[in-house]
Amino acid sequence: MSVRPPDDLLGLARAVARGDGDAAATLVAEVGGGMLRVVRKVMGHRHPDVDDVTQDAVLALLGALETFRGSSTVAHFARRIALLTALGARRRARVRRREANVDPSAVEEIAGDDLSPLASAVASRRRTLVRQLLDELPQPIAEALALHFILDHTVDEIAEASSVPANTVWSRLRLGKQALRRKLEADAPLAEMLRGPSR
Amino acid sequence: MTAHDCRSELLVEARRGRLSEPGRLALDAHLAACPSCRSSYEVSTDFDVADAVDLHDGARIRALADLARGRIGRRGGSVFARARSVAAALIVLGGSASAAVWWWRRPVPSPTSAARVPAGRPIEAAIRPRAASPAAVATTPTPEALPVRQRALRPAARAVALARPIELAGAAAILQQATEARQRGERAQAADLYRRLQREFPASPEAMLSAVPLGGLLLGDGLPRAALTEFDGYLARAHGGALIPEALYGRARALGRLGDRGEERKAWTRLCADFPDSAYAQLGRHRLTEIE
Repeated sequence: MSVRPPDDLLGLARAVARGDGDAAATLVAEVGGGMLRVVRKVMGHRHPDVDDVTQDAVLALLGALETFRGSSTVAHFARRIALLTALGARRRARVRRREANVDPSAVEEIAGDDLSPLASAVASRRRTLVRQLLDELPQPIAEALALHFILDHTVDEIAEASSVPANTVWSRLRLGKQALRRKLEADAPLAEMLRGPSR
Repeated sequence: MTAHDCRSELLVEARRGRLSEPGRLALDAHLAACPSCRSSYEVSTDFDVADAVDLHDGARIRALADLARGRIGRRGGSVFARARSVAAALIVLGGSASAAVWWWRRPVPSPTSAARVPAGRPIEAAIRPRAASPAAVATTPTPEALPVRQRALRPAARAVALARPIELAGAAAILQQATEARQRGERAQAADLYRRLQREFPASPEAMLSAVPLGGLLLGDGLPRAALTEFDGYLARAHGGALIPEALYGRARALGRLGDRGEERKAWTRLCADFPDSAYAQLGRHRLTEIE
């Protein structure tokens, strides 16, 4: 069993909880970048709500620090709050999307310059499908899946964050992965890309 | 092993760069046999690519930090604490050379606070205060006069637009011009300005910092060897410099383009080890799995 290193930001978080505004600004400067990246991953890089959702997540973090028990690092905690805030925002926006029939996250995406155009297109399509799935799945399963895929949380870390037994997380991840596999296999554009150009 | 009893800890360990050689072999064998885990690995990696930073992220985080200060209640704070917040916001995500210069020219902290900075992670160590001292709280007014509630409700995009520009002069002005030219897509002009900066102000911190964006331009123009020279020049001079992750990232990519797998692996490994939370580390971990 590994020993967790001391958390550099814990003192800052405690100062925020005591009402220190300077500490809050410094803490947000430290963890804000990570939170912003997580929100982008969940929402889509060019989603128009990224800034506002990140702001919501930061405010949620500041509110949650009063009850933060230090069960994870502050940075992990902040990223988890960002992820859950963004998932919630996507779900709320889902109704609006149904009416407009437009998914802003589908408008992304930037490609890593080490990827070929085809690999970029495949990765982008898979991200879009995963985000759609996160909107559709029951919330506990979606959260477990997002924590696992986007934040690279282990089962034990998800269990601790969600206050549920590890076996429950296993079950949720299994259901989520099955649903993801079905969705990926059923997607015609993705299949076409993976098949390559027809002759 | 089926999709029902797969344990994905190996995947997580691999993505965190902590997998031993036997663990990697076990993972490879498992991925070859398990479509479910293979799909999981691909999906996780897909999201790494979506981890890019944006040119205006520094301003975004600065606005968020200001919002946080107002939201928590106690107004003001020491000028130095504020400087650290803003520089952290600008440097950590923006990778902005201008921000790094601004940090470089910050008010010098007291020996007491400097002594608290641990070695090992230069950027974070340089900009990270370990705790905000209540005794240091001063009466610096907040940058915006809006009531806290209004500020909290204001769209974040507007807060970004309101972020104040950094005043620059001399060598910094050339750096700023070069940065703006680069942002406009005028690559040749930007490269000329960076070179002019290095020629006219060779001893300035701006000149040293300019090596990193210039290296990026050269790399983009298909000149990996020239780019490598720029990145290495920065790394040789910048002891604890703010753009070390960017320089390492550029060096690794340049070596990759040159086909030097051994040195490329070392560069990515150093980047992942020294800056595990940087946006580039995830790309590095991904790349390491490709070339190993």
